[in-house]
Order: sequence, then C-alpha cells, then structure tokens
Amino acid sequence: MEDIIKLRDVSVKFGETEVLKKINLEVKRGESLVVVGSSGCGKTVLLKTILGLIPVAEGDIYLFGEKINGAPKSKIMQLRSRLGMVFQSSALFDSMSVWENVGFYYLNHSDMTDEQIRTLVRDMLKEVGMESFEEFLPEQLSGGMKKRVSIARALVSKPEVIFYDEPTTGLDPIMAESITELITEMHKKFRTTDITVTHDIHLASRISDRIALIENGTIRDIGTFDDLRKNSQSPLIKSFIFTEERK
Amino acid sequence: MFTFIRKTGRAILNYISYFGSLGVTTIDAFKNIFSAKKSENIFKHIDLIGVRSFPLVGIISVFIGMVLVMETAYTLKRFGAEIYSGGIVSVSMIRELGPVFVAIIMAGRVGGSIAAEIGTMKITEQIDAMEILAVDPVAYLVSPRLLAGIISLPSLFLMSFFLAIAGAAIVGILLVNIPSGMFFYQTFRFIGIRDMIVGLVKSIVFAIVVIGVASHEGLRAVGGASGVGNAATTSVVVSFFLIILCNLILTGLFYFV
Repeated sequence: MEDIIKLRDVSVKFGETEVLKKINLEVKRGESLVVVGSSGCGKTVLLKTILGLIPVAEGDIYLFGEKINGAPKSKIMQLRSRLGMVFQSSALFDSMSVWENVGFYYLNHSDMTDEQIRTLVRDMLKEVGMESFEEFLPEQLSGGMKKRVSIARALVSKPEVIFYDEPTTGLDPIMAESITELITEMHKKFRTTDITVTHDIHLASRISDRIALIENGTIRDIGTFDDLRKNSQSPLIKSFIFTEERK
Repeated sequence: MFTFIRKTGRAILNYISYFGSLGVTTIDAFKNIFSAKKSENIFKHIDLIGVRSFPLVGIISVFIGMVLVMETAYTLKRFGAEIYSGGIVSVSMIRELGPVFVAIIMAGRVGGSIAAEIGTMKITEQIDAMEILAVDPVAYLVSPRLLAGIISLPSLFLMSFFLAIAGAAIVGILLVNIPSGMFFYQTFRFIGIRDMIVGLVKSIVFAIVVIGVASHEGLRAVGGASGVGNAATTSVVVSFFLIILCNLILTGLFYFV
C-alpha cells in the first residue's frame, strides 16, 4: 500500500514555543489512523499542519506523494479537493442551510445546476440520517446533528482522505456511540483513509487500524490498539485499560 | 537604550508586516473581483453596504448641508456675502466633506460589521472549513464585498452631495432669505466636472480602504468573543486613520501636483 501522507521531521512553533517536535509519520491508503493524547498535546495542530492550515517550522509534509510545505496556493487547493475534514466544532457555515453547507463544494467547483447538486446532497444526507433537515439552518440543529451534517459535507465530494478532529467531544454517550458507528460505517462504505484526532480512547479502540500516541509534541508510541495495550507506559492508555477492566 | 531601540524596531516591523498583509489581502481580493460564481452575492452585499446605509447617510447629509449654510451665512452676512454660502457647501461637500464623511459612516456601520462577521467565521473554524473545501476565503468573502463597496460608496457620495445641497437650500432660501435662483446659481457656479471626478475617485479609494481593512481584520481575528470585538474596533480605528491619510494624499495629488 502506498503512503498517502508522509511527515518527515516536522516541527511546528508558535512564537518561541515548539508545539510539535520532529514528527515522523506515514499513513497508508485505506488505513484508519487515530492520533490520541491529552488536551493541549498538539493533536489538532498536527492535523491542521498536515492540511497546510498551520505552517511548519522545519521538516517536510507529503500528501499523495507531493510536498505541500512551500507549495503554491493553487497546488495546495488542488490537493485539498481530495481531502475532507470534520471539525471539532462542526464549523458549519451558519448563514447557509444544511443543503447549502453539504453542497458547498459543488456549488463552488462544478457547473452542475442547483437541482443536480441537491440530488447529490439528498443522497449524502440520507447516508448520515439527516435527509429531512435539508432546509434547516445550523443554529436549529443539535450538536450531534451538526456533526452528522459535517460528516456529510466532508464525504460528499468523494475525498480520498478524511480528517476527524475530536468527533465525539461534547456529545452525550448515546450520540457519541452513534457518531462512532457512523464513522466506522462511512470508512467501510467509501473506503477512505481516515485520520482521527481524539482523546477518547474508547473511540480510538473502535475505529483504529493503528494508534499514534502524542505526548508533549512528539509521537511517543505507535501501533495497533493491542500493541499499545500490552506495551505502552502512557498514563492515558493505562487509565483506559483500568476503566475497561473495571466494567 | 538597547531595549528601547529593540522595542521601537519591533513595533516598526509589526506595522510594516501589518500593512503588507493588508495590501496582499486587498490585491488578492481584486484578482477575484469579477469571478462569475460570486455574482449572486454581489447584490446581497450592495443591499447590505449601500442600500441599507442610504437612510442614515441621507439624513446626515441633509443636516450637514443645513448646518454648513447656517455657519457660513452667519459669518458671510457681516460682509454682505451670504449668497455665496451655497457655493461653500457645494465645494466642501464635493471635494472633501462628502467623500470623507460617507466613508467614515461606512467604516463605522459596515466596516465594523464585516470585521465582526468574518472574525466570527474565523474563530469558529468556518474559514478553515472553506479552505479545506478548496475555496479561497478571500475570493469568496472579500471580493464580492469589495466590488459591492466600490459600487455603493460612490453612489452614496453622489446622493449625499445632492441631499446636502437640498438641506442647504432649505435653510438658505427659507431662513437666510437668499432668492432661490441666486442660491442655486451660486451653489453650482464654483464646481465643475473635475471636482465631481475627484469626489468619485476619493469614494472608490475609501471603499477599498474600508472593505479591505475590515475584511483583513476579520481574517486575522484570534481568540474568542473578545477577538471578534478587537477585530471590529481595530477595523474602525485603522479605517478612520487611513481614510484621513488617503484624503490628504489624494487632495495633494489632485490640486497641488
């Protein structure tokens, strides 16, 4: 399997503070990689750096084999059309209805009529169980519903890679479970490469092929969930095992 | 001493960096100004920036025209020259007051609102979402507003000019008792097409300043609600400063070079 994403000695600085330190990482096509770590360890920064939203201080990032740091804006835009992202806050455009949010990519990148785009949007909303909310505004939706619409928006353009930033944070356990199932289902159905950032080890254990554990801006452990469970000395992993064993 | 030099140097570099990025954002917005996909947005923004500003600009213009005639007629009466008060209103409104005061109203009413709207989108990751969906936020958000501003401000300036003259006429003819024919003759006697062009050019430049600064402030907003508040405030303050500065430069260019 080819490496769809590759990071070589990537460091990111905010002023004098080094947030990511010499990160090396490869993600293979079709893989589901989960990046875990406690709050403030640099998980979301890693995600946004891969997407080119945060500049790197050192190192190189390759997307689909092409180096993106230092690449022209047009090249980055072209590569981004092969990606999708579900934000922690859902980041739906609050002045647009659900269908306009989900159809945003096509409204700006295709010559399709509104009706053709609506058909695509309806199909995608059906996939995430939101078909009857086409005309709603984001402010009229609950947190879980927004997350579903956000997933639909990320998937509608048939991206090769999807990034999930804390997909279950702020949701009640039932809703978190249903979003976890939706992510698993969408990964299987659309055969995407998924990179998920979370501090929810339960979610990580459910959806991951591999888990990368970040601490203080570096990758401390990487492997399957069972590998980490057996070998990791991380307090995050240990506390999860402890909780699981108590159940 | 060394600390003072270092701090001064850093402040100067920050200003250069700020105005550099403001320039880049505005040039980027210009590059996409006639993009076909945004056409439906243009009318929405012309409505928000221009049409909805008309009542406020209109009423204030009438009042400014009235006050200018009251002030000038009071002074000119001592020399028996109150018939020229209309001329003073027209010259000052077309060259200086009109474009500047319309731009300042727009910086407060529209600039603050644009900075807050785009700033909110920035801190709620909507701008990032737009970038991930391969849509350039400057082209999508700033360009249509810039075009709408370039259309709206000169239109508001023209309406403001004629309404100020109307306000001046009410006071000049009814209160100061200048014969109406004489009032209008003197009002339009001292201005020409060149003055009108100067006023229009200034309005276009001020539109670019107001929309450019507001959008730039919105796009660089950080933090939470206070970040949005700062963006709106800074947008108004920087716009005021640049409007006055640009007015000085343009007046110098048009009348002294």
